Amino acid sequence: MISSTRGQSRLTTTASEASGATPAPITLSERSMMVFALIRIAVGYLWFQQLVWKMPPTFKGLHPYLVKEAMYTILPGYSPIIQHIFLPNFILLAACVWTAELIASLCLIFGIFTRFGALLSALLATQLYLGLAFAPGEWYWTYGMLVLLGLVIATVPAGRRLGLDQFIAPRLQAAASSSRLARFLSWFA
Amino acid sequence: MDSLRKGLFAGLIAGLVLALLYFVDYGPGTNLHTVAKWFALDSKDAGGYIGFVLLLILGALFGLAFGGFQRGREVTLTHAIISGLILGIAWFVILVLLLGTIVGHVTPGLYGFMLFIATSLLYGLLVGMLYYQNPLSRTSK
Repeated sequence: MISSTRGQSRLTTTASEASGATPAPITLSERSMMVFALIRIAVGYLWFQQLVWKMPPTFKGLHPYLVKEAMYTILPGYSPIIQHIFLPNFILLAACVWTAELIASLCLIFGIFTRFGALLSALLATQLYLGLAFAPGEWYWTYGMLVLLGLVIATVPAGRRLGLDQFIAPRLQAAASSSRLARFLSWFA
Repeated sequence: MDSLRKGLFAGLIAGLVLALLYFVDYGPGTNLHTVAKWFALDSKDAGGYIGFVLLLILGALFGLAFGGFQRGREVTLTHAIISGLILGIAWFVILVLLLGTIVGHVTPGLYGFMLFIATSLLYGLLVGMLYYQNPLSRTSK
């Protein structure tokens, strides 16, 4: 479990951990949480910016990348799916991708259900990795790093500083004992 | 006085975050030129720098105004978030819509509209949260 406390600036190791009995809980400082929050905002902005070259109603910029994915995907069986399902229904697919990227970016920028946004961004980046990472002119780590960024933000409650999760999370946790939905949603905040 | 100081600090930091975000765009710094255009101060060479400095100054001024409105009030988290978001809307209306279109003749497209409303709300949220968390007074203790 990771928590943030004021004034505590370094990780602590207890005697029990030193003896190897139980790992001590790791405490992140307030400053570290602020840095995580700023990274979260920057990553959200990264996703937001990628909306500009595939704007509705045509989503024109996305089409060449989808064709490229059909040609160079490393996932066996993915190419026929792109060719026979995705490309013929391009507008529908592009609208879904665009909306998913918008949701992920807003979740990260405003720190609202941050873990959901981070996991969604990791999922979108995984799809890009499988489709584009080994295409000519691409550096495969680009998409690998995007996946990792999403996963890192999902593991830390980065929305609880400089984000709306700071307001949402305690309320959901308080309601979690009586509501399954609140318990479920609280994981994403 | 303390609320003004806190507001100024929060606004300055939020303005700096916005300026850094506007720097890393397709361009680079295209959006910083847009900020300079709001005041009809854009130029090919110095427009980006002018936009950067303007965001710091505007951020500080709006933060100062935010601090002024909070004077004598107990600021809870809910209050900080709501008033911060209202500040973000004011930033969008005054700078992007009014100043941008009247002085700068900048008409944002759909993406530009989305970008500036999102970043304006982010600015407001950051001011509210930084004001509430008050790192300045914590370090001065």
